[in-house]
Amino acid sequence: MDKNYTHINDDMLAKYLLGEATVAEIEQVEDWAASNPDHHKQLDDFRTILEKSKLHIDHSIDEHQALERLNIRLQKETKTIGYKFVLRWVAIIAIIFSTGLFCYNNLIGNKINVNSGENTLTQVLPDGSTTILNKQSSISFVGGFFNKTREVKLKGEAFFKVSADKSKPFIISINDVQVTVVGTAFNVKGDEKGTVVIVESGIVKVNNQKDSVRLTAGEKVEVFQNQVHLTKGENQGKLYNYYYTNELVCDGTPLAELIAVLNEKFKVNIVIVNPALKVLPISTSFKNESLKEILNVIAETFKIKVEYGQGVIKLK
Amino acid sequence: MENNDTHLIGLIKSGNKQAFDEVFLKHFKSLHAYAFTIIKEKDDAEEIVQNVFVRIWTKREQLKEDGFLKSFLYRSVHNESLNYLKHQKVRSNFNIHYADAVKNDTGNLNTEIMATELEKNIHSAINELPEKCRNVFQLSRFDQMKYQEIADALNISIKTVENQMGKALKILRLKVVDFLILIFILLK
Repeated sequence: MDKNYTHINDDMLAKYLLGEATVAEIEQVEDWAASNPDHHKQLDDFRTILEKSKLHIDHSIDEHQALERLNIRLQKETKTIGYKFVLRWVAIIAIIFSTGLFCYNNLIGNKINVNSGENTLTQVLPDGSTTILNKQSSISFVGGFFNKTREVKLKGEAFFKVSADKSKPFIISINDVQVTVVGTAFNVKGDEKGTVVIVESGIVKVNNQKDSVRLTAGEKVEVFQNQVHLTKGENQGKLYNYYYTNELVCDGTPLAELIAVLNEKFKVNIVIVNPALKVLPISTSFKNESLKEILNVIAETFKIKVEYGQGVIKLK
Repeated sequence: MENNDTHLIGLIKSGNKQAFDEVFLKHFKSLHAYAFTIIKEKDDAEEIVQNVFVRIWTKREQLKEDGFLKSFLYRSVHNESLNYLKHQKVRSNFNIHYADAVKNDTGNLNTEIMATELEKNIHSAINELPEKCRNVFQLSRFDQMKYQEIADALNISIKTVENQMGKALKILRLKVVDFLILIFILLK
């Protein structure tokens, strides 16, 4: 008997209950249901399920009011989104700006070229070091994050107070000589005759192509053109720093050295006629005295004569 | 119907608030009723629907233009509700115990209560149906759509609609069979 109903399945029952069945199918399903109480029960269960599965629309809710509530929320949401959006852009701009500033500081801002001209010049370098240039001197500095060293090219004379940075040696190139700084204060001078390095505090390493010496406080090295070996010596007095202290400090300094400094400082041409006078040691200090006063002191100390000539001053 | 939906979604994507409002007004009540079958709390059900529409509006650029809007909305409400329940688990557990206690107090197990219990059970069983099956069943029962309309809307064959409806009924009956027996006895 059931054999006749093999095509009656859940799909067919659903169709029947939902009014999707054809007339022939309706008859078949009704026959099937009548043939067996279990079939009838199954059909009843399906009917109950379909009926109870409808949605109960709550007609007391007004969808227009619901829309208003939604719109209030949307306004709040877009505000917070706008706020987040702005915040994100502020962050992006800040990052770009600081990256740019970093690159600028380390690529462009860390290069400097200065020329002292007619007066001495105190210059703070980008790495925080200070240099005081004597007249007619020039310096170029390259440092920063992207360089392994702090390179200085010097022409003329300068005093350095180098800020400590072990990872980046401070290297001064002057003539053929390189001065590598380990954190210190020192004076470097170079002219057509040669190069002089005098250390005031700390340690400085000086080398040319062949040789190198380490100078500690109070020591100096003089390197002449084409000189191979470097020999360090004691520095007498603090004459070298006259241009930034405005003081001439002699401490057993040979007269010839003082005269050389005076020639530079006052732009004059003083000549020591008697060679014996050159090595006479002088211990004194001058501050703000005029050239004439200084020469008078020298003349009295050594009992020598000062002759003022045409463009030349002679010591006899 | 599908073309109209594609058109509406297109308008919403381009930022047309009027089209968005239209969709909300058209579907709010049935979505709210649907969320209620899962959440069983009116205000929370509205919040669920709101969440779905807020997301549709704020992320409207990401909307897909193909597909049937109504099924998409049912699916979204379904997922949102389940998410919500996950977060509210502790609280809802408490509520269920509390509700049970109150029910036991009255001890009045009449057919009316049985009928609502049955309905609750059927609805939670619907929510556990496989997604495709649930989708077809909901459009038929929630929106009284004909087989042909469902087939057109979902771009599937009538045969598939028939299969899915039969499958749904079979699964649902198995899940609520105990209740059906009780109802049968009580109605006799």
